[in-house]
Amino acid sequence: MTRKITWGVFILLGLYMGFQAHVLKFATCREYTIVQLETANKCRGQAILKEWKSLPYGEGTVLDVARSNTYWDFLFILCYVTMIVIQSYNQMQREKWMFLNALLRLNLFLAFLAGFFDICENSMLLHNFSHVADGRYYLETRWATWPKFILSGWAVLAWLVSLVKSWF
Amino acid sequence: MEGCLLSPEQKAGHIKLFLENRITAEQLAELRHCVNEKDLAVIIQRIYDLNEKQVLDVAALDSVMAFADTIKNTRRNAVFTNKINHNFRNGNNKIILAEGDSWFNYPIILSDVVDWIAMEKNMAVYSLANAGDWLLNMLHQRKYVEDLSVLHPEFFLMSAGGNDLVGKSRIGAIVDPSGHSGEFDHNEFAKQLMVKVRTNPVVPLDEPKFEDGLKYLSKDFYALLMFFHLQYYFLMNGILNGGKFPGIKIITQGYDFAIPQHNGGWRFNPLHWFKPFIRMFLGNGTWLKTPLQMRGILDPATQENIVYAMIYLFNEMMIKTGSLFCEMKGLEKSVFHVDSRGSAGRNGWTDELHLLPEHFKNTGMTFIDCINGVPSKNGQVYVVNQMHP
Repeated sequence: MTRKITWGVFILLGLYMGFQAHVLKFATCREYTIVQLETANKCRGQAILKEWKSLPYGEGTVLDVARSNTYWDFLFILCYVTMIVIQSYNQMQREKWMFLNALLRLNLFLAFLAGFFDICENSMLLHNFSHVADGRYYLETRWATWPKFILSGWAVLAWLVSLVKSWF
Repeated sequence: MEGCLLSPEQKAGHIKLFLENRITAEQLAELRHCVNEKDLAVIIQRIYDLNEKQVLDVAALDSVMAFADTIKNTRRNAVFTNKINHNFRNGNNKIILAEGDSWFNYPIILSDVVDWIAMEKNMAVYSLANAGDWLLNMLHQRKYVEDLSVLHPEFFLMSAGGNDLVGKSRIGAIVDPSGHSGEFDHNEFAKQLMVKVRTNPVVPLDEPKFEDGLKYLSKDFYALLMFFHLQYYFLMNGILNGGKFPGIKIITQGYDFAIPQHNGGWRFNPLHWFKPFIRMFLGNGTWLKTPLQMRGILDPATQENIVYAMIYLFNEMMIKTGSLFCEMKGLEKSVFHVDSRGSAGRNGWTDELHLLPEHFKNTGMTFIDCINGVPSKNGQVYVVNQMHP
């Protein structure tokens, strides 16, 4: 049941956040994405934020969409961490090869670590959204973004390898 | 199957000798045929110096652990039901009922023995196991009785006794810190177990370790050892001689030589990342090390030898109990024992009591061999180190 609910929330959130990402991307002619912002250096990050802030969207600006996207991302983090844990645990109960079984067990830890980096990243993004006008306070988020992607990517890869292996 | 030949007065006399560790092997055999649940309750109250309610309170699961256990069992039993729904019960497929403790249900992080068994395509395992559960509690609650009747499994797996020995710091109550205990010499049952070992050991005996450990085992340990024997006999007898489950086979296990320790397990190994967390948060040191220190037994080697002697005798008791049924007509191949002694070595432990998943796997694979009828060179005993070195 938990698995089904988490999948449901994950898909709905993915769709909504995907829509927000689409708005962010096509709001500017340079087509900046949220991932580009996350991995940007200080100069590029400031440029993206300034551009988003200068563009109106509804009653606010495009930056408000980015802020809303970041808030929703906290729920998304909870979702994907739970999903990696549940899926890896379930696959662990089927995986007889000790090395892969151990990797799936490692996923339980990596998922939390990835979630931790993502929370750090979001907190810094929110900080940056509030200090667009003054570049001195900009915090680079890429030191948290790359570990987040690497850890969650590795976890998904281990799960996929075990899953595909179990079909044969 | 012999009936009870003792009068109530004789039975009471035998129980008194039992508790004083002065009962002969013959008297224990007589008592074995006579004990009922009431007698077992009286004996354990005397061993633990508690009243019935207190004994059951001590043995009961704490609520957090029970919740975690339920999560794991619910998932496992859903897999079981799914298999059954696909007409599992035919041909060479086996229905298995598992009752036990954390070796059979370690919540979430570790793949325990039952996890490995349940991965087999031809085995559907229904689990009643709960981490931290006592044999006493299992016998009192009798959940397995109901499920045996419903499932009619081909195999009944048992892993119990560990928490009765070391749960809630009980180990401190069954040792004699003077190091001059001569209680082994008064216990004919234990001596007979070791006579067999010295002529034909199933698992090699480290004599100096064993002898050193014996010096610290009090009469209450031997009472508990014999109590396990009575409990297991009572349980097996009910299943095998009750006439309700013809052909059922029982497989027991008797743990490995645990090592008392407070070590945090911080050595870097990403695949064993859980070790420090489990050791930090889930009671490492509180089962063996601290209670022994509390009794003034401070030398690590002595602490290790005490546990060695306990586990050695516990396994021999299990083998003996099973063999009593295998000597009965029609039950020759009805009880088996999976012997994990020495399988994990010094570095194969997640914490004081639980193996690393790879060693749980070896024990699980040995259960699988036993269930699949792979012959063992030790007859009814399947030694993990021999089957999956």
